[in-house]
Amino acid sequence: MGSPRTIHTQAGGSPRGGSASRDPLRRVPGQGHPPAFLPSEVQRLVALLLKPSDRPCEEMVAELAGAGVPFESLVVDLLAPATREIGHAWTEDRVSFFEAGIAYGRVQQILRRLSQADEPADVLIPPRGRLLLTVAEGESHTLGLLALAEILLRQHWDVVLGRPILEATPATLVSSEAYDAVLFSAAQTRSEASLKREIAEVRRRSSNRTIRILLGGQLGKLEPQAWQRIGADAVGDEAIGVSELLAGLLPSASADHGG
Amino acid sequence: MKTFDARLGALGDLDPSLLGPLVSAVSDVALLIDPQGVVADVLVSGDDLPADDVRGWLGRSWADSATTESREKIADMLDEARARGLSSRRQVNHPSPHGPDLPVSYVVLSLGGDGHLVALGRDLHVQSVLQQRLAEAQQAMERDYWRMRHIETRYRLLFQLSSEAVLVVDAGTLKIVDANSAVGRLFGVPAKRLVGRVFPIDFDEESDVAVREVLAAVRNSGRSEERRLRTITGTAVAFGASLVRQDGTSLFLIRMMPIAEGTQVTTVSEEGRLESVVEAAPDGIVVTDLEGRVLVANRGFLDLAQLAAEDQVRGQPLERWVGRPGADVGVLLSTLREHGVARLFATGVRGEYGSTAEVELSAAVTRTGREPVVGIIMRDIGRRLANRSGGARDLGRAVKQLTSLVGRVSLPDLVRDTTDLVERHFIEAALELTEQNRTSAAEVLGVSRQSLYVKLRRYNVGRDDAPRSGSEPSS
Repeated sequence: MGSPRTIHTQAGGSPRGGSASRDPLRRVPGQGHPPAFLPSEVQRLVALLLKPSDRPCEEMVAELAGAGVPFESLVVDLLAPATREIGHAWTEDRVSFFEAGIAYGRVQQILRRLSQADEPADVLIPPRGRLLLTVAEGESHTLGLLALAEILLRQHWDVVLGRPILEATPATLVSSEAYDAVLFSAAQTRSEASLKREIAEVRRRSSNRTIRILLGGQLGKLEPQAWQRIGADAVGDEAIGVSELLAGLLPSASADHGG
Repeated sequence: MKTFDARLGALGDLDPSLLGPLVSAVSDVALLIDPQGVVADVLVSGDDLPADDVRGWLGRSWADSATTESREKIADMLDEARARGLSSRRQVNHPSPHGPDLPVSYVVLSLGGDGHLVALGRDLHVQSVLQQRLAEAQQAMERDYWRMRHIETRYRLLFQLSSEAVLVVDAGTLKIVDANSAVGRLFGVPAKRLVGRVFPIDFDEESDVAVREVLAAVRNSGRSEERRLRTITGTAVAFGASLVRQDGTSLFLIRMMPIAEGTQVTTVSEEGRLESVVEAAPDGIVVTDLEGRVLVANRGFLDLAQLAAEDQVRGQPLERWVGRPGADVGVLLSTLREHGVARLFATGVRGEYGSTAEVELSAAVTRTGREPVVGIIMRDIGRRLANRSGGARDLGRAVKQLTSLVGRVSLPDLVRDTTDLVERHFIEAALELTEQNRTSAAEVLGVSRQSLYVKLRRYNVGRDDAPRSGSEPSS
């Protein structure tokens, strides 16, 4: 879930809304401080996610949600770094694939419960635009996309999850319905070639001739210039920053839309 | 380039011929790595490993044989083995041209002096199949997650769009868990601000008590009757509640519908019965105000008026479809104002698409609410008229046949035949009307029984009929 905080666009400059910098101090619920958790809190959740029982990790997050920590902060500042940390632990063989898999399942379950508990009441606000979120061909990570989708839904975007939730290719989806932007999430450098081909195909077949393409995921971090090579309009995988980035790319999608 | 046999033979006093089998016994694949990290030799002993692919790594950097995310692991293992003689065990994935990545768990061992190392790998292929299954199971869960998310959004939208005020209240604490926009409009507060408040809120004193009674009844029996209540701002609402359960918690689902002054709120059971009867009735049933504007109409009336939905008649003047414009409905309403009821009021209904129907109205004024309303039942008597006019249709056809004789038969004869035909027709109609009772038929026709019998014999009508009763004289 997530990766670099840096956001670049073909249009140049930083996206509207400015800084994505974070105060590492503990966020005080309800006071609008930049959301953040202490690394020790993230580590505590990681340890709980790897325990034999589901309950301790669920209780920790439920407690924080009950104390008023906003949905976005829980997702971006707690669940995402905890999930990344488990990914690193697996990569470094400190945990097995199965331990990591069970922990991912628990994160998904927590995300689902948070989403249900924090269902936005203002569903009647018209969406700022329609987005297609998809992983690169051959990749299958979905949890980060689900989390990003939840955040974007709360920021009044109409979100469609493509691959691997839907079997249709991004080009097929954008040819049958008008999308304002497609966000490709890629974790592996070897996806670059297929991304370049798919992005060209999306632009060629899109029913919206001005469709914008974003690159998200680990690839942007591993290969900082990859987004330009594959023909994307921007790169950025900070979940909270994506909405601002989109608002900067799409003139019709006002950043302060719907509050 | 050194080979395994030569390199491992230098390890000590072990018989070099034993070292190959030893390496094979402890690993599925063994790689001899030179000081530059290049694969100098390979030994494949695992049955499931693609030996040709593995031999393809010969002469290449070991890191280049692995996926991007594994390269750093290889560098770490080599560094660790050089520093400590033995590395930690790490999983490395090798891309395969024939399918999924090839996962191998390696430990790296330094061979000493000249910087060569050996990587002993265990094939994790079987484990990777299980991993793949786990990954697929997770993806299936994620697909379900997103599907459920869409369903919830759809219901959320429906909840918010509902014109009926709907509240979800925790049955234990009476705290409001959820409220739709209509609730906010009803109480003049944004719905979001109501969440967490203790229900009931903002009802007048009497209604507040009634709300608690309804909720107590629902808690005990699971259901209750609908009640008419009033908010503190004076808005009358039809109030209903039911009990739902979620995750072991009981919740009240509360519905409130603002109602027009004067509208009677009946209990759920009575209302349900009455509504279903009214709706299913074959006769048209309409409720209007005293000006004749439609408040409610059933399916029967919509059929007569050739309309699809009740919305099309609500608020419209009844005379748009019933009676002669400016006449019949006005007369009916005057009668109702004067007498309170009207019976057997004959008029017609004009359908929206040109149909006409003869109807008979019965109507009454009710004054149970604040504003009196008029209830009208209209019965299509077209079939009844058609049955009665069956003879008339015959008569018309017969007259037409007689008319065709003009020019061939003299006028006096035509008049006589026509008179006979008409006389016979009315005698038959009278007998039909009196169910063949000749005494009654004579009375209906205003002739003596004797005169009727003469005519019956003359027209050969009813001869075979047996006398109907003791009062029926035999002929």
